[in-house]
Amino acid sequence: MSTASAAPEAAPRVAPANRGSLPSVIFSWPGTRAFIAVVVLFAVSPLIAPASVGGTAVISMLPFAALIAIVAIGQTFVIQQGGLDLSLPGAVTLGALLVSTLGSDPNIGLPVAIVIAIVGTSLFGLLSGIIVALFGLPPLVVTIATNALMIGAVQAISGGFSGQSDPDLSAFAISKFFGIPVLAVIALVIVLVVQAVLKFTRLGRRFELVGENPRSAEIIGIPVRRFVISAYWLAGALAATAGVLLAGLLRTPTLTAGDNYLLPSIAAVVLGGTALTGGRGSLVGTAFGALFLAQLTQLVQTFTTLTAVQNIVQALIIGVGIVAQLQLGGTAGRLKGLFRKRSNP
Amino acid sequence: MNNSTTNEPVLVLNGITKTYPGVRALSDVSVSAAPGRVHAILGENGAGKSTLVGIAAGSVVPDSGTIGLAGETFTRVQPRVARERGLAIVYQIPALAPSLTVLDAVLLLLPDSKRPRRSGAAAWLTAHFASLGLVIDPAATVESLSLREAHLIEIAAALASDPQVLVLDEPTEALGPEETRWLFERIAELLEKNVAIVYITHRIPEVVEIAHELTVLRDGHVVGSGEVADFTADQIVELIVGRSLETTFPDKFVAPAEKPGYVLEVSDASGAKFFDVSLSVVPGQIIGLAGVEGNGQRDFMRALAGKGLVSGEVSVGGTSVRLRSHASATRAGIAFLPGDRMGEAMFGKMSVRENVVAPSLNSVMPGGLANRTREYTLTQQAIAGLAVKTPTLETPVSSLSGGSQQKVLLARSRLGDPKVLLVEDPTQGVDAGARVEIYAFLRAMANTGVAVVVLSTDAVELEGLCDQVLVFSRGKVQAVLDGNDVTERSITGTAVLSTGHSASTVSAVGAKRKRAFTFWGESQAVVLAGLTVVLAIASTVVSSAFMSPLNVSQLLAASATLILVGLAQLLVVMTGGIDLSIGSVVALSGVIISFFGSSGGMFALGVLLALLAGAFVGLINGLLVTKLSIPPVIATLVTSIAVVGTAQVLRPYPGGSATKEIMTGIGTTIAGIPVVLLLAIAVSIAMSIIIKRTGLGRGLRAAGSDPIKANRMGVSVPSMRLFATVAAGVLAALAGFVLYSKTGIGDANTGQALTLTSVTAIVIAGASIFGGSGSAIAVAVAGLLLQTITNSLSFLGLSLSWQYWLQGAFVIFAAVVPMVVRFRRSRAARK
Repeated sequence: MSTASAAPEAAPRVAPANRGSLPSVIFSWPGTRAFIAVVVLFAVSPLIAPASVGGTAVISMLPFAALIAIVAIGQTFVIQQGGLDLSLPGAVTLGALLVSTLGSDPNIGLPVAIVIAIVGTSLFGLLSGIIVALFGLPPLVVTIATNALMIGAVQAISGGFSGQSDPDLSAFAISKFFGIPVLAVIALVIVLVVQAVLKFTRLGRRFELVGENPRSAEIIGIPVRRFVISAYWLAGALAATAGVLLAGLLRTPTLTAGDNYLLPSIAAVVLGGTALTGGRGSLVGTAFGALFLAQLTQLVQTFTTLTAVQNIVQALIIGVGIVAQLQLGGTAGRLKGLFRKRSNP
Repeated sequence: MNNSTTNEPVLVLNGITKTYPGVRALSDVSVSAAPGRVHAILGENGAGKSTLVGIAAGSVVPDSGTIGLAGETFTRVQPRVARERGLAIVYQIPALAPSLTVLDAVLLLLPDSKRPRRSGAAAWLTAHFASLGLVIDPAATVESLSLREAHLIEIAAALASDPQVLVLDEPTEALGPEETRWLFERIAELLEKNVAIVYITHRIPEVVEIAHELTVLRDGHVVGSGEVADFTADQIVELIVGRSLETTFPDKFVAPAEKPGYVLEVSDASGAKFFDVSLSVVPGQIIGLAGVEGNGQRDFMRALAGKGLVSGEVSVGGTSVRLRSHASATRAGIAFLPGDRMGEAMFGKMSVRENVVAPSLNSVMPGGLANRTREYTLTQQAIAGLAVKTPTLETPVSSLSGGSQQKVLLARSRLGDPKVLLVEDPTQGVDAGARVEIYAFLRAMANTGVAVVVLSTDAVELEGLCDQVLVFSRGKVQAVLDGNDVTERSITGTAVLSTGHSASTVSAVGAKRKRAFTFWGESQAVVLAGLTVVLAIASTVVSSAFMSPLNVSQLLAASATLILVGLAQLLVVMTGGIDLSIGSVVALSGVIISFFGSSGGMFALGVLLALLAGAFVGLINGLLVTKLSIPPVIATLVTSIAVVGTAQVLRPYPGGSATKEIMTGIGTTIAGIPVVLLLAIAVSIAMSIIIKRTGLGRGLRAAGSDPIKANRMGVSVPSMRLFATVAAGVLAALAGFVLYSKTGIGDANTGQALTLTSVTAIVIAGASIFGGSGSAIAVAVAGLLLQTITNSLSFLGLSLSWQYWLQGAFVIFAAVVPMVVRFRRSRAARK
């Protein structure tokens, strides 16, 4: 029998460093991989299809990247709170329908129509948030249900026929700001503002803490439910905003216009490095993810005009991308661990 | 007792090493158990005992080392294999999936050779329980049992499996003295039968009483082993703690001459599980809360932490405080450190810095804006002197060791400058070196005037650290131990003795237990059937055409599709997933079949191909989820889009009608009921039997109910999930065939709405959306109801939008109602 009793190690220790070396900080930033993916895609595109990277090609691609980005930012919020919003297609469609139906009514006028479209649609997001936060129901089931409610509203308002958007809205949506499509500028502003709030304010820090672990956050006195509810509410509002812009871009938005935004919105978040389990997220990463997806669509479109084939190819590539990002995420964590162990004996 | 020392050991663990992120749980540990002998494994919380048990049972995979069981050597065992080879285990927290019935759980735990036939199983189990002196209803669900009852059931199941090795992990933790006596008698019987017993505990008197050999673990290392007779009780304690008690704990509080005011005063506090608790702390004092688990001490601490009291007074620093939420407690200066560090205290993937400043953001970011430099300065101040072992302040806190994590939490509470510090299990999973520092820190906090209240399951720790200990029993303070009375012996003695008065018999289970699974599932079906009839009558009143044979036949045939997609979704949801590709598979199946409509033989081939395609999609879904760990939603969303794309490529425009003979053939009715509906009903009944009465069904339910516990019970969770997704693919393809029988054309764009309907069907059928339970019969009736709604809308003069609104509203309503009912019930139980 052995009785090894070491003396308590009360040796004075050196305080740990504030942060690691610059390369490790950059490497651990979740948006880095999405950024690399975008760079690689743009580098490869001219080799595959020279037409896909010309000035006009990029200009025509950017508005779609912008729309994906705006929807995906909302999706990022919800995913950060450990949820998933399957009602965003309904919100995009409803937003687009409301602005085109009400906006062309001279009694209401375009500005009021835009406000109603965004605020009205966001109420469905608020409903999702309240049910998820107060009753603890699975976000999937709740958002499937609110999506059905919004599709029902679309059917009731439209009577099965889509309306024509206001010409002013269309003119705005296709206008350019110093040569850059205005939609891209709007998306950029939203990304930067939201990223700044998230990273540099107390409110943003609390939002991230709640997403990382709601139980821990509640115990230290953070009003968890408010943050969860606002995530769904903002996601609804942003999707409706994308719907309004889409209505301008398409002039006559279809009644299923939003359906094409569900998978890209989730894929952009995953590619952007936000963990599906919630917590810390990178909105800039999400924006890169959206850019990647839009360019990918562009690339696929130069080969086939069949939407069905485009869908298959996209689903496959997105699937591979998600798998790669998830698997790589784990590996990168392990690599990082090794790196740290070696650099700090 | 038996003296069979010459016998070969039946369980041999050799050179076992296991590392978790940041912790080396076991390093090079070797233990063996011989027939007819009890081998005790001792150690503090977090010494590695439970990990060792998990490795022997197959629920934890070791990094290196071998497991020898019944003469064969493995590098890893599956839980099922371990059980089949005669290893039975009783876990510290019973590993019984909550949604199963007692009978299901016991049947699942037994090895194949010992399992009775399902038809006589209930009677067999009642008899088995009776032979052990237990009265427990086999039809009760596990979640309705108390911890104690669940323990007894696991012990009973282990005894019924006639094991060669029985592993007991802290078996007496949840039991009273009489039950402990009962257990020791059972152990003596097993020893007579030459069974080897591994007994994990931290209670030394029990070791001295029943064990032959012992092994002591500390921080994952074997620090001592041998015959129990060669050790004195004091020597064992010293081996466990690793040093003499005097050097481990800081000096205690010395009361000053004049009596200062109380920092924390609680009077007559009552809550759901504790009554009339009073407590007062003067500056410098550390108060301990003790008791057998589940006697109200934890609830009392959580009430102070902000859960709130039903009645009573709390004042902090002389000011009365109203506790309504954690936020109000925090404002009053009460800081709480929960024992479940990763689950309730830390922000695992976030950095040390973010964790330390998290509760103090108001003072760290006074203007609402972040300031990195200020955060670093404050964090460094807070962790100063605590020896937190971390490379940088940006390191994710989850990668630190248990001791360093706890120090980060202590630093965080110091930064918040609290008046009261509540600490639950302060040294759970903390290595011996860090314990000393944590004790010293808590004492230093007390010395600065903070009221420190510690809850611990370790009586030695309470003896060493606390100035006063409140021992809880059945929600009341049984004894207040002060000064020299604060000893391990008196703490455990009071706790155990007092429990004895209350729980005098083993047979405490009433017969009025709610039979949740069977009864609830079918009553839901009855309710839905009633709704269907009411709706049908209402529609007929508005328009008699609703009851025309043509409409009824159409309605019934169409409901077959909904029933099948609902059943498909039920299987997946039951195992804890969700399938968003169901609608796409329905479309693909119809499209495939539409190419084979030229003759009867070809048509059969087409249906077969469609079913194979469904199985293939299900297989892909299952592999993405189980092998690549992609969340089910995302995996099935991706396949859904690829599948519908494939269907569109195959048939860009609807078409491909079959010959008239085929359409008439698959459209026939028997006594007015379409054949396709009979098919759907047959599938529902078959599924209902499989789910309720077979081992496969038990496995599916267990896997969805609690994957970790299911794995411990010997269920292969990945194979259950894979089975569910493949079967769901086949059922969805079958639904595609049924849909084709109605429309007669292949259309890639039909079916998308069926994904929503499938979710609606299972939610209103009362299946748990969190997995683990659900009735196939109720889903079938739900399918019928949903089709009746769709069908009656036009008769009631309502637009298509109502179909969506009703479905959406139904889902929310059906999902919210059980939650509200449960909430009400728990509130009623409180009063």
